[in-house]
Amino acid sequence: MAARRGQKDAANNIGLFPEFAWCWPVNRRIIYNRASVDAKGIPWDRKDWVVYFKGEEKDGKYVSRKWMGDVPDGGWYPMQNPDGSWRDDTKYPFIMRKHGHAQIFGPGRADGPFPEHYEPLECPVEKNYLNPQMVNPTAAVYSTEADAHATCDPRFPYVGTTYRVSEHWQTGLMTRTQSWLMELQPQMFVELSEELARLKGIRNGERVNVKSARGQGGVQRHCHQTVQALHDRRPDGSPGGHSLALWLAMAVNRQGGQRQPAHAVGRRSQHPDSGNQGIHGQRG
Amino acid sequence: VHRLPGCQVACKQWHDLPAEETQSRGTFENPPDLSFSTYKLVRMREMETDGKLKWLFFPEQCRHCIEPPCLETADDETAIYKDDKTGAVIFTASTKSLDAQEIIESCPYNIPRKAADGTLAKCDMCNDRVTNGLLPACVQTCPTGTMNFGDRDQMVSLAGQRLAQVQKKHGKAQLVDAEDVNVIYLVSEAPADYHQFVMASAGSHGVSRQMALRKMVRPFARAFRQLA
Repeated sequence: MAARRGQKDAANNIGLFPEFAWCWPVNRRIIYNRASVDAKGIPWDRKDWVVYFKGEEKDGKYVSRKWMGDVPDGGWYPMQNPDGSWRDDTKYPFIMRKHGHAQIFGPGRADGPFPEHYEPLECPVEKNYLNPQMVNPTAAVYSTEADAHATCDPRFPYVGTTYRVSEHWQTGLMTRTQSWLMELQPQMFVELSEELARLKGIRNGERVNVKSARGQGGVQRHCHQTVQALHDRRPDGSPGGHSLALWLAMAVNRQGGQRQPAHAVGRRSQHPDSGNQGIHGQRG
Repeated sequence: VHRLPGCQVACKQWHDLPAEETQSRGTFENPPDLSFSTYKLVRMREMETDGKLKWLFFPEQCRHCIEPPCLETADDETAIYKDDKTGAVIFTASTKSLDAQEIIESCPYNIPRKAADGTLAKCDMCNDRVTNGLLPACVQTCPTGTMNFGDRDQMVSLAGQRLAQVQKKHGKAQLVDAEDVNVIYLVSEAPADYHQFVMASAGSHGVSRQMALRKMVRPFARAFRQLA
């Protein structure tokens, strides 16, 4: 059925193309489509209708069931007969909702949920000014070493965020072995502003150490100026990359060639500069 | 960040060219240069003008010159020839017998690259695809409509129309060497801001005096070679 390529549109040419491939379930194209008709089965939009009740009528009552157009979402009679009397052998159109109606609020709630602002688990402010709840109460915390975080900690004065690169898919797990993509984006890198780079004495392309409360991320590179674009000067005006809501308080230091302190954790067993070894795609 | 040079990868895929071992170099541009196994490379330059950051992209490749200096310099149709139907300038495996340095230096756009054994390679305009009714791989994959491919008259007219549009916003916009090449770039900034070899250096196009001389002595040179 999925190989069907019928080019014929629905009866009233609204772009449904019911013979092109197949829709789960029963080739119905639009869910809850009976909500597009009034109680008597007549479309709210007489011109671009989706379904239309065309059952036989006798003495002001519908006596047979026939829907035109898309496969009706439950082929019951309309709610009312042509004479305006309510039928008791039918159902409201939102058939998978408890009362058959659409709902704006979540089930069992008087209202909401509404958008909320929480601070990231690790962030540069001491207080959530919008809400007494500091961080997302549903964020999973496992109380292990991996949960260590540092908020407003002078040891980690910079805010970093991760983003995805278009050269690799998600974390790169699936694309890091694709040599043409590895060629384009072979290693991890960090981007920092020219201001921060000047402050830390870091030159473009130089290796740097990035540390968080959870460890240090090997030796990375940075690509300055671009990060200015990420803030407010991106040529196309779009916000910076695909930022994820994963923030880390971090310390960025020029890597001076000395050995790292013995307590540093998280150092990669393989040096990122060892070429296309296929383990250092970007974190997404 | 959306800056994946899909055209560059499509080129490698169609020609089945191997990836190079690259390093992160403080730029998103990789590999660092064209090579025997990289025919197309998107150059990316950050430029600041009037406090605004601009990102300049330049998909570098062979321009398929109307009078190709490489072809003239090689003077060997088995090594470098032009497909008169498509205008593609094609390097064959016989480029191995040419003086590679001479060919590379003859190119006003610094395009040909040499393998270890001296064979030369560059963009072939996907001539195999084109002669079979397909678009070049880079054009086919371009999601933004930046690259267009077709008969020269159509493309020249399209380029002219687009230039008029772009010039309203970017006064400096121009078509680069449009009279001399079959790969016409529209730039909104000065060509040199994109890359050193966007525009041919003055006087390097057309048949130079040196080349004209070579053309004159060609029959004799051939005869000499045959004698030798």
